[in-house]
Formats: sequence, structure tokens, C-alpha cells
Amino acid sequence: MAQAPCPILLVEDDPSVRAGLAQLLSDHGYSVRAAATLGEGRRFLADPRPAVCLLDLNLPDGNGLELLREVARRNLPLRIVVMTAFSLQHLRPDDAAHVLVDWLAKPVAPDALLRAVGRACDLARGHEGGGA
Amino acid sequence: MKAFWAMWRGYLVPVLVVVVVAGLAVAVSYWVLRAQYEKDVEESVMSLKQRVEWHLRDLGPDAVPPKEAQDFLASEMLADPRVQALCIVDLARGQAVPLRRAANVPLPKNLNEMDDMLRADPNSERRKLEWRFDLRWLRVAMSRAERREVSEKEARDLLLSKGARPDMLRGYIYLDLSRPALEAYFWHVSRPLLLRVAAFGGATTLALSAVAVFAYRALQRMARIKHRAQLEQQGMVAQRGLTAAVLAHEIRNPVQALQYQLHSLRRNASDPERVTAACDTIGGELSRIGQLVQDYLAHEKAQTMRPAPVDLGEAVEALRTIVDEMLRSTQTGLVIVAPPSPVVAICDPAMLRQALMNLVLNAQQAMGGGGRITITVGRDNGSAAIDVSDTGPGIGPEMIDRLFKPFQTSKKEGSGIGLAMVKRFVDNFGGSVSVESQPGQGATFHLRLPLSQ
Repeated sequence: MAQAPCPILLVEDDPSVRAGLAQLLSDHGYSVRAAATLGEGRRFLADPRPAVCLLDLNLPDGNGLELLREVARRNLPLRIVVMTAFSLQHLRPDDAAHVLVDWLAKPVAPDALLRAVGRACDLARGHEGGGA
Repeated sequence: MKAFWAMWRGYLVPVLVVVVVAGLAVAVSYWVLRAQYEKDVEESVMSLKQRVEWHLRDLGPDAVPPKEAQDFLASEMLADPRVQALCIVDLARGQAVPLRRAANVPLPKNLNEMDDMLRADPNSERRKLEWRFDLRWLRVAMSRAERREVSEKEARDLLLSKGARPDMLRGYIYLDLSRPALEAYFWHVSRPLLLRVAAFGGATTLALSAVAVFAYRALQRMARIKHRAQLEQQGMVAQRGLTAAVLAHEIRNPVQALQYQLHSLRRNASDPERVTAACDTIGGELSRIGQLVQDYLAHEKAQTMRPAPVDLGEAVEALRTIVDEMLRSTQTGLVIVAPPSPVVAICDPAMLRQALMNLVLNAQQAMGGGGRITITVGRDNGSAAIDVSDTGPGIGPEMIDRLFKPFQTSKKEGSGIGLAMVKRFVDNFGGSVSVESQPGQGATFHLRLPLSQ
């Protein structure tokens, strides 16, 4: 990885999946902070600020869409990849379209996941570059 | 409001049906009685007219009824309570035999007055009846008077000589009848008929109402049952759909975790520590999937359990054909003791067969070869009973307590799930299973299931 590491926030409630994902992403050079709940994920938005969020929708304390909308509303420089067990395409929120990079149906194959995260990181860096 | 209506509909409709049927019965009865009454009035009129004619016919064509004959007629006619007034208007001679019951009863003096009175009150029981010559009676009267057989021709000639004709209209008989007397007479004569009509009408009303109410309730019940069955069907499908969806959802996470571990294994194949960690996780995730599938199947099985009346004698006989070959391989005998009358229990037939097979298999394995298995079907304390006994070594007291728990076995074969399944089967249908054994003297399993009523 020649580029600067892309900080990733991982929000996923299933411990095995969370551990596996974290392992996978750090194996590929990403720095990962893992959250098990919506509340935890919300706290981790602040500092250090992640560039990409890998978000599960079905969380014990709420729906991941809430976090997605919050990010869009606060106009945070953050790109989001959603992972969901149900491929509920109709749930794609229009009001958060600009922060949503991809919508992946579980189980997400490692290659597809890495591709989506890579694209999100590129977009996030472009955003940061444009903002600077 | 809807619930209120639904509650009353059950009573309102049957009551309406009864009212309508009763109304129809009363209307029909009234119609029948009315027709009968009118016929009766006409019969009264005709019979009274005949009686008047009887008095008149003995008179010759020109004879005016003598005073005593008039009195006799009056006394006889007034003896009948139906007669209020009577007079005869002779076309040739004018009024004759005027008689009335009371002074206030109007009596016509001539034909015109009679017509006026009839026109004035068409609903009264007043009649204007024709009075004609009767040649036959004239002949009889002449024969009697002349004490010889007068021929019909002679009678006719006599009539014609006086300017009259046979069947010529001689005059009119006016009759005024009392309606209350007519009704009383009708009631007196027709009472048996009236009572029969009333009884028949009442019974028919009751029977029809009962049939209508019964039919309506039956229809309602049928609709309710159909509705409930539909709901149950929908509920079951929805629940099964839900469990399938839940299974699919639950299985995604371990599958995803497995994919990441495989990916990690490929990348870190040279790092023994990473390989061991990945393998542990893979093993854990695989058993998680296995457990999910098993739970799902167990749930499905519980869902598809169908209680039905099962003839235990037939079930045991059917079992014989299944296990015969298996038992022959170890020279194990099978004796079935059938009940004197059919014993029908409520349970799932497929699960019963599985439970019985488990018991037979258990006995066969316990005896190790040879021996005899006896299956007795009967009744015990208001329950359906199947007893399965063997001639094996028996079960020790330490084993009996945990016999029906899963994975408890002293045998080399089998997983020890068979007897646990038997227990779960009888528990599911509100039955019981117990075992009785003396070491060295074989064992008997007592299966109890609820009897079908």
C-alpha cells in the first residue's frame, strides 16, 4: 500500500463476522476500529475520524440506516458501505445517496468486500482532497 | 358495534325465521278456515232452502200454503238459530209465509224491496233463492191426493193447462241468516277440523322453525370452522416462512465468517499460529451452522405433527411387516397380542411407528440375538396402552433413571437418542412411557396414549 492508510469504522454485531472482517481488513493494510452496536459506532465517528464506514443494518440497538442518515445530515467527510442480510434495495435512502458507496448483501465475499472498501477509500480521499 | 351485531345475529336471524314461518302458518290456516267457513255457509243456505222447499213442494201449483202449514214451517224454521227471517215471494200471488225472529229484523214486502235490501247490504247473509216447480214432487203430490199412480205426462199436462211449465220459476225464497249463529254452527260442526288444522299448523311451524334454526346455526358453525382453518393454515405458512427466513438470515453470518477465515488461511498459510486460529474459528462456525440446521429441522418437525385417531392394533400389525426382516436376521421372535376390540388412540401415526420401531430396535439390541419381543395392545385406566417386552438381560436400576434422556446408552450401537425420542413422542400427545425391569428377566416398556372418543 503506497497510499496513506484509510481508517475504517466497522459496525457489526456478530462477533465472528466482526473478528473475521477486522482481520481481513487489517491484513490488507487498513486500520480498523470495530463497533458492536449503533451507539458505539456513533461514538467512534468523532476521533480519530474514519474515512470509510462498513455498516451492518440489523443492530441490537437500532437500524444502521439511522447512522447513515446522521452522517449525511451532518455532512461528515465519510463514505459508507452497507452490509445487510436482507437485500432490501428499496431501503436505499435517497437523502443519504452521496455518502453511500455500495450496498452489499450478506454473506459478502472477501473480494467483493475489498473492492467496495477500496472504492470507498478512493472516494473519501478525493473528497478530502477537494475539501482541502 | 360490529361485535354487538355479530353477537345478536346468532339469535336475531333464528327468531326472524320463526316469526316468518309462524306468520305464514297463521295466514295459511286462516285462508283454509275462511274457505271452509264460506263453504259451510253455502251448505247451510242450501239445506235451509231445501227444508223450505220440502214444505212447499206438497202444495199444488195453485195452492197457497194453509195457515197451519205456514205456522208449521215458521215453527220449524225458527227452531234453527241460524234463521232470522224468511219469506216466500210467489211471482203469481205476492208475498207469502212472512216470518221473522224479532220485530227489528227487516222483512221485504215484495220483490223490489227484496232486491233493494240485498243491494243495500251486499255483505249480509241475506239470500234471494229461486223457487221452481218440481215436476216429480207435483206428480207424487197428485198421486197421493188422487190415491193412484199419476203419470208424469198427467202432471205435466196439469201444469201446462194452468199456463205453467215444468221448471218454471215460481217465486223466490228470501233467507236472512244470523252471522253469529252461522259462526257458532260452523264452530260446532268443524271443531275437530279446526283443532286438527291448529295442531298441524303449530307442529309444522315448530318443526320448520327448528329445522331453519338448526340449519342456520350449522351454516354459521361451518363458516366459523372454515374461517378458523383458513387462519390456522395462514398462520402455519407464515410461521414456517418466518423460520425459513430466520434460518437464512442466521446462516449468513457464519458463512461470511467462514469466507473470511478461508481468505485468511490462503494468505497466511505459512504462519502456523494464524492457521490454527483460522481452523478453530472455521470449526466453531461450522458447528454453529450445523446447530442452526438441526434446530430448524426440529422446529419443522414439531410444526408438521398431525394428531389423528390411530387404531393401535392396525399400527402394530403394520409394524410387523416393517421389522420382520430385521428381526429374522438375529432370530428374534415377535409376538403381537391384539386387543379384543379396536383400541383407537390420538397421536401422529408416522411418529407412533417411529417410536415403536425404536422400542423394537432397542429390545433387539438389548437381547443381542435370539429372544422374543412381545407387543401387547389394550386399554389401561382409560388410556390406550402398548406394552413392548423382551426376554433380554433387563435394565439395571442405575440405568432406568436416565434411560429416556438423550445420549444415554449402555449399548455399543446407536446414539442413545431412540428412547428419548419415544419419550418426546408420548409427551407431545399427553401420554406417558415407563419401564419395568428385573435384571435377568427382560424389560417391559409401557406406552400410554390418550384414547380417541
